[in-house]
Amino acid sequence: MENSTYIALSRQSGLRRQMEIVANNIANMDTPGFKAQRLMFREYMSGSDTPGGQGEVSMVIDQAAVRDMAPGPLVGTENQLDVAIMGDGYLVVDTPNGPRYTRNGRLSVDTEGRLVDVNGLPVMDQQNQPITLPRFSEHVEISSTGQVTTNEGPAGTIRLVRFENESAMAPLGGGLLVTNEYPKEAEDSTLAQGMIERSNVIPIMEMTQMIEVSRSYKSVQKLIESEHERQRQAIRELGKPSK
Amino acid sequence: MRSLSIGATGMLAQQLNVEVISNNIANMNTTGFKRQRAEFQDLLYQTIRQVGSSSSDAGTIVPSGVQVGAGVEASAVYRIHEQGNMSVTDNPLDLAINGRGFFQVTLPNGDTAYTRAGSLQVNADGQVVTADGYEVLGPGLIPAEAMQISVNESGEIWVMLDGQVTPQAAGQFELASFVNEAGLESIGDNIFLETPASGAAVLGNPASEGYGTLKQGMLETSNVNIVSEITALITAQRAYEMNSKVITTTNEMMQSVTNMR
Repeated sequence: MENSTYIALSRQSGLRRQMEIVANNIANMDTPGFKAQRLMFREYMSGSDTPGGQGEVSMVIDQAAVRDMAPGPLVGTENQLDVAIMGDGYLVVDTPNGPRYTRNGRLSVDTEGRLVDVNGLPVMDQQNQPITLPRFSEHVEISSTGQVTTNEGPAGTIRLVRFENESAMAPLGGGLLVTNEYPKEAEDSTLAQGMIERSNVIPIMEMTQMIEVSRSYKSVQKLIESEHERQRQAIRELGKPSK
Repeated sequence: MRSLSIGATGMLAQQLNVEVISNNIANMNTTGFKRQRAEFQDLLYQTIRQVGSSSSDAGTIVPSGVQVGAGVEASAVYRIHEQGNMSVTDNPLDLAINGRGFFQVTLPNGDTAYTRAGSLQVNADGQVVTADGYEVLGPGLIPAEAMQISVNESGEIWVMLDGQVTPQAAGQFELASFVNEAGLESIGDNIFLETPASGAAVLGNPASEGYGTLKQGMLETSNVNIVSEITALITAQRAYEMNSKVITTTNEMMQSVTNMR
């Protein structure tokens, strides 16, 4: 009796979550290295104890939030410590809880002269050590293969890694990602100095998706209302005493 | 609904962005001004369905979970210490630093601060001071009878005294350099303070290793690029509008729930 309302409700709660994801994409339109998320819906069979029977209803469930792995546009920043990753590589940064991976190549130098990311975490070289720039280094050159050279000589090579299953990487905020998978060296990825990878959010796509969410939400709302009206009328009509 | 507050974080971030850009534009003619840039990063994520969790007793695992982000935050407002252009002023005490380094000045409260705005002057006591009258550390007193002052690239001051034919040494400018210039704190008036993030100042003579050279009769203009600031302003305004649209849409969705009988 209540099934149609519950089915509509499952759609609505999914749409609310989709709206949250769209809102997060739009809010991070200007976050370097950010990847847009998409919500994936799946049919969910309920009451399937009698296969093909009358009790079987199909609801909808949000199965996964998939990150869109398309590369973001590269923009020049004239900042010599900005690097953009071309290819599917990630930078490795060291945290007290183990390595984390990021595509935000907006690097800077900390008080000890180490190359750090926006969170102040040291960027690792190919020996998994922080890269320290010499004291008087003025001009920093970062080659496409990640070799950091200053006017005082070479300082190390930035490590780039890749993963077989990028969708299993969980975002932690701050542009950092974590995964259980063991990283492989990303030989095909290259670095571009003085550039930054912008977020791959396409605003027009998000706006249209938002309109779609809003309209679907309202039409499901209409469905719940008319179902409610139908039930009320049924009770009214059937509840009349017979003459 | 979470999207209401997510939209709000987006609007706040873009508001900060516009503030930083407008300060850059306002200071496009400020000597020695270094432009700033607002940096953003995604906020923490809430896990609704854990990635890699098992979805059946046969051991199948969820290939990617559901994680909803909480919006955006400003991670830093960077100062970009890129060299500004040189403009010729022909004023003997206008000194531009070409390369790394800061002049060291003493603030009225006795603290040491750093500046790149080299529009210097001599005060009544013969001290070399900035446009605000703060004493520049390093050079000695300039004699009152000095007719001509010349400063060479390595910061040596030579004065020509009245009635003499050979110039006399009158002191030496020193420059301070930092490991992380972006970590300096700016307090206005083109003045920076040392912080734990910048590291301690290391003094050295101009034109020595790791320090820039001094250019007499020139000033370093701000490094603001007006065209890129205006385009950044347009982008920020559009992003602001889109985030406000998120809030309106969420509001409509919530309203339709309220109107449900």
